[in-house]
Amino acid sequence: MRFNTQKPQNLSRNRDKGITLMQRHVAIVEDEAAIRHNYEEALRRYGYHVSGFSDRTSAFAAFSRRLPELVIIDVGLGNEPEGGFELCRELRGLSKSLPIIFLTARDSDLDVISGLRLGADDYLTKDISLQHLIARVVALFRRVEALSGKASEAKTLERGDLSFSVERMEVSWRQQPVDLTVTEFWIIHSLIRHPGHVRTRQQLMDDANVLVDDQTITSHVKRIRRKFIALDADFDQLETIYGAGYRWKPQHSAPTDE
Amino acid sequence: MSLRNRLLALSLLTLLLPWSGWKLLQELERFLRETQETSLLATARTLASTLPFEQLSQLQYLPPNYLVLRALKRPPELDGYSDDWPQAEHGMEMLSNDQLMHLRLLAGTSGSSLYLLFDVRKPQNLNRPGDLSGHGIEILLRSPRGLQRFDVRPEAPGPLQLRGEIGQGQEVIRLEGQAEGFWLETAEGYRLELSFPGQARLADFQFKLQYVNDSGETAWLRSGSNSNRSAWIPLVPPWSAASASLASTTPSGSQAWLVDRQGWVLADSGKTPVEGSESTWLQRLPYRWVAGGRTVQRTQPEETPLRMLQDPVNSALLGDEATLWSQDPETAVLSNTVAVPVWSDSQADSRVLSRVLGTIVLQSSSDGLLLLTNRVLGRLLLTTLVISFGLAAGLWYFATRLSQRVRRLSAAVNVAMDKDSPDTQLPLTRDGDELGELARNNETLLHAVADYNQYLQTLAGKLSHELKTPLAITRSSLENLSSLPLDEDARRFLQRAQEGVERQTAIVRAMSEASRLEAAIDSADWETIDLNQWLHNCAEGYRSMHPQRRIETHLAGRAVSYSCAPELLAQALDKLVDNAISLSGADDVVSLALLPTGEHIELTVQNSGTRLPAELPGRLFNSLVSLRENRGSVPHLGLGLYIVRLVAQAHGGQASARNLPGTAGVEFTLKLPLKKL
Repeated sequence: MRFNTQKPQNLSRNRDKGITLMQRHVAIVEDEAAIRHNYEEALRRYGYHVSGFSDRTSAFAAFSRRLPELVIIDVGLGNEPEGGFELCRELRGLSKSLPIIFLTARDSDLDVISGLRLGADDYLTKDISLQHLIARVVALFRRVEALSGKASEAKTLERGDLSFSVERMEVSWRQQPVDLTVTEFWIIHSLIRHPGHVRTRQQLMDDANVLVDDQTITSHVKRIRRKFIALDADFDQLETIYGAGYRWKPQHSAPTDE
Repeated sequence: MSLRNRLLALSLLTLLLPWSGWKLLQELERFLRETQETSLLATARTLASTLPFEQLSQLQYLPPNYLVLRALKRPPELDGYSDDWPQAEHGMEMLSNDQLMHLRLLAGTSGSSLYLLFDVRKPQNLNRPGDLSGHGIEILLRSPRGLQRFDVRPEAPGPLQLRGEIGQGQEVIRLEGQAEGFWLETAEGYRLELSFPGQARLADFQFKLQYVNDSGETAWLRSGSNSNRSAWIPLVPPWSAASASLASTTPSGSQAWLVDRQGWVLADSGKTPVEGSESTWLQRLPYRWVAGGRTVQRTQPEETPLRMLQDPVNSALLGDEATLWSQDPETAVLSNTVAVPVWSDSQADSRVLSRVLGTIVLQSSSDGLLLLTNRVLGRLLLTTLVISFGLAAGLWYFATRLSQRVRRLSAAVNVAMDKDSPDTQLPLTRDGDELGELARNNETLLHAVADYNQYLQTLAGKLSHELKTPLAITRSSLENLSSLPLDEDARRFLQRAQEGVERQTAIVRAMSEASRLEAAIDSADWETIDLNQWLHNCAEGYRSMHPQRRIETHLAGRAVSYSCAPELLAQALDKLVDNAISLSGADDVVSLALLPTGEHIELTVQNSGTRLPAELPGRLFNSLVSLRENRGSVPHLGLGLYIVRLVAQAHGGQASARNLPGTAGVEFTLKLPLKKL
């Protein structure tokens, strides 16, 4: 079962329905006009209200007047190589809960870490496809809805000390919530569906709707593990199977030897 | 041949120095000889041309046959043996008319006595030992008292009492005890030794030797001539006056002789003591090298010679001046002998009218030349050898230093090439010579290469970064386009465009992988793991991912604890295994091995079925180097092995590749040191 019912092939259907009830407002801050327009059009076609900005000041000016419901920011803005980070910091000053997605050509681990530390909800490289981008936007909105209690009662998965809410995109370990990005959430989801089974990096990539290399998956997994360990120093459920991938080690049972 | 050996061989040329010195010495010795010869010849010529008139005339009117009276130091014993006669081989030789009998006659004086030695040789068939019948000698002496006749007729060999008579006709007086002798039978004939007391000043004599010829008849060998009458044989004593005048005119250090036409020494300046001492063979050897070819080895007679018939006297007797260099093999004393003919008319312009009367022989004996040559040769050899060795040693030192420097430079360049780091310090760069310049140029070159490599390594990352934005534009545009209503043809083109973009995306992602790995190395988690278990797990993983392939493992068989970044190591291993699997056929075996040695851990991935291309084996692990021959649709940028190398370097180790012997395949090795650098 795939939790993401909003598969990209449903895009056109969605648009046909004419989602007028509540048009989500998505803002895109991207200095490259062509990309910005393409993204705008794709999101609009999906039914969102989209506004695009090409630089930090105009974007922030507009956001100060009225906050959008989700922001996609390019890290490098015009002649400000880290203007996106700066904008993120300013936005967090305006709103703690505003979902922010970084979208950038830069993909070094350091950039990812600093972006996420600033409170971004996801960090995507520009080689992501539009469908994947939209899937993330949809997921983030779902999480916002879940948090605000609009969604139906969550369907949760229990894996030992881990409880996992697909609808709310919430994960908690020993009743403590774990703060995960959408990508990380999907990776965890992919792993715990079949505890004890090895998921290759390629499978994780497919499940998380990212098209990146092994290196990026590795750093994602490392980050997830670190977040769990921050809550519980004895956490060792997320196991690396060298040469193959990762698996979720079932608790209170002897480790299977494959 | 190394530089050093070449220079050493070149320094062998300095051995020409002693050789040329030796040649020079030969010239010098020849020159010294010539000088000595010339002066000796000049002296001899003077001696020959200033002979007193009476001596000249004496020489001129010497009878054809005469007997030189030798002064005997001791009276010889009358025993028939000639060994107490000096130089018994020189005597008056006579042959009988029928050529049967051979006589050698010697005469000498001692005190007031005259001694005669008849050495008679008979043909073998006539030699009948013990049979003395028919043999005898009749001797006539012309003494102031008158003619004395002695008739020697031995009845048996041994001592003889000679009966003689004096006077002629009726006044014959018998002489008893006036002479005695000894008859000795020899293997060839007989020897008769006679002594005539008081006859030392005898002027001449004649004899008649009776024998039995081969037809049994009695025959005679007569003195002086072959006629039937005996001739008088003059007895010539040494010319003491001439000897004295020779002695006074001969330069010191040399000896002069006056020799007549038959080689008999008439006058002798007397023996001069030879300067110098006995020399060893070692001292003689060098001289023999230098002048051996021009020196006759000839034993110097101890006594004054009675007769000279050898070179150079015989040449002079024929009218030519002659010289000879001889060396006594015993004493090594060097002698220069010159012989100058004495002409009957020294003033005559034409030698045709003049006759050779005899020769003046002049001999200078000394070992001065030998010693001089030895000394010069010794010094020469020493000097040139010292120079040669000095030169060779100098050249060798220089060459050694040179080749050491070259080797140091080349080793440093090799190390720098391997290390591939931009801040390489080469030796010799401060030197001012050509090697220093070479080192500086090499350093510049190495820096350029390192910069270039650095550039290549970052190129992929930079390029991928720059390409991402335009690629995103294309991709998002195509995706937008695909959601529009399009006809069949447009869809087809769109799909192709999207495939192209996918491929480009893959390329760009691969390009940025290495640069991201470099960043990842800095933030890698280091932990100590059991590599054996780790490799086992990895192999299990590969088997599950490639169930149709044979993947073998050769584990260490024990826990191998190693501090590493397992994620990175696994990534490197992934690359190697990917490589092995994609490059080999479906039936080929991929085998993983862990080999802990003393200081290193070797992690190898082998696969059968492929070979490394021959070109660029050292650059295999460089960025953007792909040696794959058939490029498929999957982009291959040659970054995989570069990542392997980065991981190896992060662990302080090395990555290498080689062909297995035969067609066994290829082996990639990660060599990781146990001790962290």
